[in-house]
Amino acid sequence: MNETVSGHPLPCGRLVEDVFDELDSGQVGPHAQECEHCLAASRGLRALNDATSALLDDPAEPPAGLLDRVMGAVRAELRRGDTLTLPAPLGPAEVSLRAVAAVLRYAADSVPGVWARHCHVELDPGRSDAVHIQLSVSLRYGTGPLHVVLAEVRRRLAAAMAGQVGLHVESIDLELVDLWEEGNR
Amino acid sequence: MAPVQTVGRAGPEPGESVMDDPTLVGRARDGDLPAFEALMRRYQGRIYRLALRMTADAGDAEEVTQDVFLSAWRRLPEIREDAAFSGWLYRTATNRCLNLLRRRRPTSELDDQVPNQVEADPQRATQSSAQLEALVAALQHLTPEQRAVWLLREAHHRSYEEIAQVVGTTPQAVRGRLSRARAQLAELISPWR
Repeated sequence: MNETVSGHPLPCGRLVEDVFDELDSGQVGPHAQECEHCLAASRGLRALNDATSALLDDPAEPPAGLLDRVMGAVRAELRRGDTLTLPAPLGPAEVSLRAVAAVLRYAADSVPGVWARHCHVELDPGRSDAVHIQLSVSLRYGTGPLHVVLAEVRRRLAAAMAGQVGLHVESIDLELVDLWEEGNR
Repeated sequence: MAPVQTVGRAGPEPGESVMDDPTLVGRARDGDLPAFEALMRRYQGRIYRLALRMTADAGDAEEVTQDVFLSAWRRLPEIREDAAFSGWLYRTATNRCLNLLRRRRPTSELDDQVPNQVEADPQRATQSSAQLEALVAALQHLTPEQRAVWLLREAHHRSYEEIAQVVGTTPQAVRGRLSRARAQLAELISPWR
């Protein structure tokens, strides 16, 4: 449609757009209640509204393999990333920082009301068996006293680091970056 | 790996909390694949349906959807606002569809001649209802820009401001285009002349 055209005129001289605006506002004037063209236009709007409802339940779904294909490409592009060197009896072991971050996020998520977000881990410059952790979290509104919840997050992060990675935690910077509410997205 | 909960079209079960977009985007930016997969599960249907109704071609819709999510993965560091992810997806998908249709246009200039009534295509046997079938056919008689405006607003409930950004105009102009698109669609699916 040409943008300069102001609307779709009906044989009675009114614009379809104006009839629809009236219907939307619920204030249909005397002309539109009587005029056959306006009544036909309002039937057209009802038909469109019904069809729009059908479109909202559009059954079309993406092909089954699409997600796997994209995730395969994403996985292939994922850089190996930085690694931590773990002291081990038969020689050092390399572990990817992304894997360590995943362990830490999992530990933080296990505290009710806590969702881990950004996670950064680095080795202490002075020691080969200790790390510094930075983690941002989002907290469910009304979860409880902040210091209690964050203390529990710290405790679980340190336990996961020691138990599952085998490194000592030197410091943990926790940042509360957001709040979420149950049932909202 | 963290058990990222995902959501299908039916939405979460009662009592289940589903990670919000900002959380998933923040994690995905760190290279957390389950978080990115959860985002894709959340949005792939919506983006695919937008592309399908824009292009009226399942192959094109699939290609657009795949491109949009691959770009999303590559551009995650650039998407500054974690909460802006869905807007970014819609904007990118709409632009890809419009570009694709612009390339396709020379062979279908006859779209300018809008017939009074749209005949439902009997080959569209997969459509669940005659109404949907008629609407889908009618949509192809709008210009691509008008179709984008109508779909983004009526089928995807995006804001006027966001739609205005996508098509490069003002919210006021979007309202005007939407109003004309609606009149045209109503006429096409239920002719009153």
